[in-house]
Amino acid sequence: MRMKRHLDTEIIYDKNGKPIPQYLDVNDKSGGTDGTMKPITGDNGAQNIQLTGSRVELETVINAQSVVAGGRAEKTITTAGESELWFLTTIDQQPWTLTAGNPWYSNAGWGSSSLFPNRDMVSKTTTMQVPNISLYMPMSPAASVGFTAPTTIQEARAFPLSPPRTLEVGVRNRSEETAVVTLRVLRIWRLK
Amino acid sequence: MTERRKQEIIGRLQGIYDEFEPLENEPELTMFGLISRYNKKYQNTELIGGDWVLKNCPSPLKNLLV
Repeated sequence: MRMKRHLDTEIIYDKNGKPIPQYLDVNDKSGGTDGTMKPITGDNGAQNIQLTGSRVELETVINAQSVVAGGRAEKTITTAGESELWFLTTIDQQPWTLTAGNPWYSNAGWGSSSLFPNRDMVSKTTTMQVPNISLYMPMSPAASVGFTAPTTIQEARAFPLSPPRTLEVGVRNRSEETAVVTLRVLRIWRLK
Repeated sequence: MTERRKQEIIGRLQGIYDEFEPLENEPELTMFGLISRYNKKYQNTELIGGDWVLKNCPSPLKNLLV
């Protein structure tokens, strides 16, 4: 025969006689030998819920564009509150330069100081499988604006990373041949 | 671009697609791979790219990974 066991504690009820959301604090014996029932509360009486993790989206913003020698493939992108933006560059000629604008100068002509690692005159071609990747830094930390440029990804991340609502990004073909450029952006939202 | 030239380009792209053989570092043909091969093999005077393929080419070319 199955035996019932009753907890030595008391349920908390509301004024209508219905049990409220509650939990058993086994370390507090003031309510009984099995512990004390306590209400679950949060701000305004709601439960405190914390979302963790991140959301990641990969988007192609420049699709295998043919760029003449000395020319530039560019795109204005719109952001949506991302925590971080990473740019993935695939190009079949070299050298090349990746540039991006910033909150006060949205044009990609600003240069490559908004990106870490800096991708100016890169002497290596890349593939879709193994693209070249850089973190976007809206603060564009460089000596020209009074900062010391970061030398590690940790230093780069120490600068505020939320991007402006729109920015232009560009890949300049600095080779002597027509290049094909695919640029993808990895959008990351970190939930706290 | 004339229709004749357009069909010539599509035919060339289709040829590249048909001749593609997977490699370890390139297991499938992408839009990037298609255009890159096209530029190396032919004169791309019109500077066609992936967007042109999406707009003008039939499957399977327009379904390549971008």
